[in-house]
Amino acid sequence: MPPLPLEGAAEAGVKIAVRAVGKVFPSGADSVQALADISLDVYDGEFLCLLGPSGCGKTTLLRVMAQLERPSSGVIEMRHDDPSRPLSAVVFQDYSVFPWKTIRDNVIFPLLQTGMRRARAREVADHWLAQLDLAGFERAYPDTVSGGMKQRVAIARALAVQPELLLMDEPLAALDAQLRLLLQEKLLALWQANQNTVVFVTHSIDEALLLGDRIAVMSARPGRIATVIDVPFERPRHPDEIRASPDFAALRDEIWHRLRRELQPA
Amino acid sequence: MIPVTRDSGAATAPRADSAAGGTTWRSITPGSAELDPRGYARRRRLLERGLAILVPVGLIGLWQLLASSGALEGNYFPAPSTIGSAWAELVESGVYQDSVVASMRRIVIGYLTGGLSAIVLGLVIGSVRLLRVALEPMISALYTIPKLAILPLLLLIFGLGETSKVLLVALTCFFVVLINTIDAVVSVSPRYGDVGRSCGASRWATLWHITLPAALPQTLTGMRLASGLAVIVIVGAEFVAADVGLGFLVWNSWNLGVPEHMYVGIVSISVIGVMANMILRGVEWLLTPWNR
Repeated sequence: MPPLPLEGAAEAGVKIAVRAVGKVFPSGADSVQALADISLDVYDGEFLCLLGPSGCGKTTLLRVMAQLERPSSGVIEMRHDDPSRPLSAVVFQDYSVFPWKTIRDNVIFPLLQTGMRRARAREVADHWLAQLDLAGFERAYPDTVSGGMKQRVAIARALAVQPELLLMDEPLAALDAQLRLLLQEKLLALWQANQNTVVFVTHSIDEALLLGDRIAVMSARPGRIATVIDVPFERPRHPDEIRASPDFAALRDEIWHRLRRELQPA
Repeated sequence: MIPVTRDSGAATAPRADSAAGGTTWRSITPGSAELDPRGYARRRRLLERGLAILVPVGLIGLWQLLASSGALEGNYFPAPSTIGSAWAELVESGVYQDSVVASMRRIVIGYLTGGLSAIVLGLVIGSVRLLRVALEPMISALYTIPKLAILPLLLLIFGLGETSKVLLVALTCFFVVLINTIDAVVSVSPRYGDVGRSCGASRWATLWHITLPAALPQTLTGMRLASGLAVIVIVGAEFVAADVGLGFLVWNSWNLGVPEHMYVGIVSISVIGVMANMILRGVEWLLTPWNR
């Protein structure tokens, strides 16, 4: 890895260094500036939330980190420590679980791509399915189970390869409010047990506060990092206690006012 | 505006209200389907199966009646019983078996070679953008040619033997399946491709684990369409360029003036079509378990 070009990048513990990243999508004769001059550090083992209104480019930023898109300008450096583990795995918003594979085979698929034997992959898959309370559904097809279960399959599929970096693109956005609360708790417990580095895209302030160590608030058109907020809650966190605390309400208000300014034309 | 509240009159004595103001009440209660769902479903199934069998049987019965009463001209519309005995004669003499075997052989060989090679090529052409851009206009142009129109050309090149007829069926099936497969591959949601890429799947793994299963339902629809076309086209070919086969049987019976043999051929052809459709639905059921 070459040394990072810009100031502050050499700091220890930086897992992802985003430097002056821009992304332009051509659209007919015009072009849309999705990201403009994004600079951001993600530290080892932290849970970073990208928060912003829809269309602010947060998903685009995540897709660039996942190497599904390339930046139009700037550079992203990602440190890969352990060559035996994949650098990153992605949990997509929805419709990413293969309907033609059973729930077990969905989780086995990425394991096979890492060169694992099928028998071993099956054991690993069943372990992670059990972690996400899907034991007993291994042989079911995804379209025969609920949306919440499908999304848990997507999460198990990403966790099973034990990536150094977990990239999550609004994994809970398609779920109803109650299921969402339950899965947030599940994610919190899993993260506290595994301590991966996580980048989590969301448009929900509550979700970002509950899960994140830091929140990068983005503004729209073009997408920029408006501010980065440190979340003060201690770990391990208990969702109900946090939601009830006065700090939570105060922070939520603060972020909401900031977002509101971004959303309203001046 | 009337405030929406639930006090006094309406809630306590609705019936009295209706008598006074001319309002009527509509009660919604369980019907027979709800009170006895199992029995209802059973009666319903029985009725549907019965209709599916009784209607054709009834129509054939009517035909028999009209034919034997002389209301239908026997030279054009022989009675079903006459057709039945002609059928038995043809079976006894072995002509019928020869015709069926000859036609089926051409259909099956042509269908499998044409259809399966089209699936393989369609998967490749659909997944490689440059190939698709290069070949798609030509494929559409060739697809539109009625395949029977090139039968004379095939006869010129390959002679009157089996090759020309098998090839005609193969070409017919090839283009239908190819176009459906390419279309199916192109319309696979890019999100599944994203999952593959983010897992570092190889080209081969992507084709096997993602593209093929995602495209399979529409590809199999193409295979089902092709089976119908195979039957149509082989009959046409056998009219003019065969000395055995169901198409030849029909055509020859016209030449000989034996209408009941024509009907035997026509009915057999339609039975083959129906059977092919049933078999292919079974194949779909087996190959796409997630769609059951």
